[in-house]
Amino acid sequence: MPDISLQNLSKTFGNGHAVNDVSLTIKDGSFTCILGPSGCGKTTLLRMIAGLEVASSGDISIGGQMVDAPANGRFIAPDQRGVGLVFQSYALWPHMTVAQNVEFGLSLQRMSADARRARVAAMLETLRIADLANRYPSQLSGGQQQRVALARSMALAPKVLLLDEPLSNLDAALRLAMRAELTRLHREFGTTIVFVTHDQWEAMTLATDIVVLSGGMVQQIGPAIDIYDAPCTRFVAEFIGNPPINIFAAGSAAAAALIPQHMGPPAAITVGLRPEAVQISAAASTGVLEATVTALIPTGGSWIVEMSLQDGGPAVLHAAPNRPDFTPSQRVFITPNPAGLHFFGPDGRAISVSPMQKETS
Amino acid sequence: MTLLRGFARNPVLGLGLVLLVVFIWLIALPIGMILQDAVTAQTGDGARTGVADGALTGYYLTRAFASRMSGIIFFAPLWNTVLVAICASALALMIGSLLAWLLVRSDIPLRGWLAGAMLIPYMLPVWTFALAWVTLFKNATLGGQPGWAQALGAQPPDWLAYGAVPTIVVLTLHYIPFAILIIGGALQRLDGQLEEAARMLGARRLTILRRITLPALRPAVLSAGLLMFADAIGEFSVPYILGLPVQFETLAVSLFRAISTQQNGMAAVFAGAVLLIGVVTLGIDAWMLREARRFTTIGGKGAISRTAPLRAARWPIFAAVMGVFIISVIVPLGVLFLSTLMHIPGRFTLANFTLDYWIGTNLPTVAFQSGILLTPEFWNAAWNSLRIAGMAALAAGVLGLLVGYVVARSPWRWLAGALRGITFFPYLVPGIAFAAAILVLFAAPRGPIPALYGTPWILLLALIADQMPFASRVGISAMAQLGPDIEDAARMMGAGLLRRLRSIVLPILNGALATAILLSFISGIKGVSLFILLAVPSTDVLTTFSLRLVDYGYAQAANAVVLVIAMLALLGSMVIHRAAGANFAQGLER
Repeated sequence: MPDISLQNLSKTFGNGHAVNDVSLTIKDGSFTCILGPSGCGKTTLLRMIAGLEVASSGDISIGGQMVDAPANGRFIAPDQRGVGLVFQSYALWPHMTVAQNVEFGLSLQRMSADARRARVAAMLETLRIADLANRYPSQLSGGQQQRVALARSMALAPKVLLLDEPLSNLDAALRLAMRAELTRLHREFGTTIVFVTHDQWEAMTLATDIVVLSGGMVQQIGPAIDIYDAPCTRFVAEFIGNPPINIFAAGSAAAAALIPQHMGPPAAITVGLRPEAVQISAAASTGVLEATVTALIPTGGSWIVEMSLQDGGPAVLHAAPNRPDFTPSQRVFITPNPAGLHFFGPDGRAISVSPMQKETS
Repeated sequence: MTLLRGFARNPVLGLGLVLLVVFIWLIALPIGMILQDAVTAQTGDGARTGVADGALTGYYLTRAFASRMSGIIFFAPLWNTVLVAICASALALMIGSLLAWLLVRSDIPLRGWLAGAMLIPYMLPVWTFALAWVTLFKNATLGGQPGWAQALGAQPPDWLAYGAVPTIVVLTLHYIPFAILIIGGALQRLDGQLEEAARMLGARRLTILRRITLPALRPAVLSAGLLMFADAIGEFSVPYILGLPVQFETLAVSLFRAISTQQNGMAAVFAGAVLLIGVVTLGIDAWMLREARRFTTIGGKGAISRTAPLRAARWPIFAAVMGVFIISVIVPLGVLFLSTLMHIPGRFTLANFTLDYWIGTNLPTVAFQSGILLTPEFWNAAWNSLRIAGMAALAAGVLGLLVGYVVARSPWRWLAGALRGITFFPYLVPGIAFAAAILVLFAAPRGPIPALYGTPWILLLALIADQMPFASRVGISAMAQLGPDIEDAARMMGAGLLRRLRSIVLPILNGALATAILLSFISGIKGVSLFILLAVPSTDVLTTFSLRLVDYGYAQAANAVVLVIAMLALLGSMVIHRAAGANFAQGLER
């Protein structure tokens, strides 16, 4: 049962916390994403699980075995943990062919030459790169390099596969292909996969579970759609979603207009509104906020309507599936869809509103 | 306990500490000891210093700086050293800048060929020129065979034959390529858009040159000047050959003479002075480079600079540049070569030409009765040169790579900083001063290390230490390009430090390593100031062997040996150029 369990895990560099008191469990067989902006400590976290960094305090266990616990001096070397790591840069050894790259780890394990050859062939076959066996990394495309890196890690049959930003170096078409590939490998081998990324699209489309990290601390853990629908902090709400959530500052007229009466004094509450929950009409009667259209931005499959509020503040975005029936500088009226409304207190934490209350607001 | 565990988990620390100890022993310790020698009474100096051997004394410092002898002993050599260094570097800077501009920015004929050819003098050992000069201009002041000018009926005055003037000319010829390399390199990197921007604003050519180009090049020009000055301060072979006949002494020569007359205390004072000038000069250079970096703009793709048309002056200027080439390459090598073929120098009759000095037997001389190629001492020296320079280059290359590895991977910043600093330090110390320091350390047995003077080991160790600045710089920059991921990927699979070095790091960096080793090797083959104090006849290398031949007056044989060295150095440089392609400039800056 290789659950990965982190208890009060911290890592300090110099005088700063890279990872600060993180506790979480990654379930066996899950496809978990650690998501956060750059510098949030997510790669450090991944490297600690891999055994490339030593924790400053707290502990890590993999499948019930304690692998890193500085308090009692326990540290298991990376290769003894049954984990594989695919680097963001792929880190293929440039002086070895594809086959030699995959074989290196096997020869370190003193596997016989015949067994090695068979295993290398099988791995290249699995990742559909058998025809590249004798090429050097510099002769491969980015997508091919990543397949080699995956084959190299998976050749050792790790129980846990760690991926650092697996899709970020690939172009749009390859990302889709690789996404399908990773999902297939996950299904086929039942390996627990943990990956880190700053890209919410990558996280939402791949992961079964997401851990949102900020400033070295866990913000929220849960399935992707839960995190989108019910962000538990303002940070999570702003970080996830594209186009980003509209934020109405506490105390502004717009925020006051959007806060239901029963929530108490509105002065301290910040309001967030998902762009797809913004409903626009040209008729004044239905609207809550008055705005002027400033731009219509095509994004390919859909449209973004950019508006400015009457009383200033940042632009409000509306995401529309079809070409909107408005023109720039046209006066419009905004009605929020209550499902996309979120409220945050002064500490940034979400203030929960029961669905029934949302209906009545 | 935690420390031990730390070492086990991160063997880089252990490796780094071992390297640090080695370099403290090989670099810091000898320099510390020679500085200490300047203020302690040396064996046998009891009567003069008035204190027991080994006790603290101000005798040597007083004698050098504040005695009736100071003028002769210290200040005259100091003045000569500074005069030669300033004149040679200033002249080289002026001629070199002009040539650099012509080679990089003008439409001079045969530009590509000239750009390579003009660098040749820097690949030759510097005293090649000195020997050629003596062969040409030697006069009756010095006994033995006549110079060519003398043989042809002229009597060159002393000021032309020996002393400051020829020393300055020879050093200038040697440094011109260095100035071309640094200033030409800067000129190449200079973003042409800077000049184009000024042209767009209506600036005329001269204004652009004066207000844009020259100020932008100033850091490179000043840096080239300081590096040449520092090198000239420690130069030994040229003033030794050209200065001694007229008692023209520089500090390096004074140091050599002090050591060869067992005045170790005075030698320490000279070494300290040379070292101090070197450290201060290069300190200024490092400081200025830091200052300059503040306004460096890395020119991107804008390197498409237009070449300036020389118009009518094109061919006359080409002739002048060819003149420099002929004077600094063809003439010295030609004179040396012809001199080895003549019984009597400067007599151009068919009967006077001979191959005896190369392959003859039963020559009518006291020693060296066979041609140089049939002399066992020559082959002994050649073998010493090859194995000492080869082993030192190999060791320095590997050590440099290890230093680079620790610098890049050590979690302890201070360890990286200390290693970088200590391996760079010999760069600040002129070769002869460093050799004197090494001599102090290894002249007597210390601890488990026996006395190494008289063995090839002392030459080997000195050369390794002397090559460390270059080798460690190569190692550090090579490792900086090798990201940690590539090794972490191997760590993930359980490859330990040694396995990673052997299977990952070395194979990837073998190109950089090979270049570093070859360049060190060439530098070791043609180096003289480092070896002159350390070699004894049985451990002679080619360079010291040829100087010994000069001392004994075997001009033809000496010139022949120098030619062999010059050819080895040239050949090696060309091999590197072919193999490594490109970065000539980088290598030659040493």
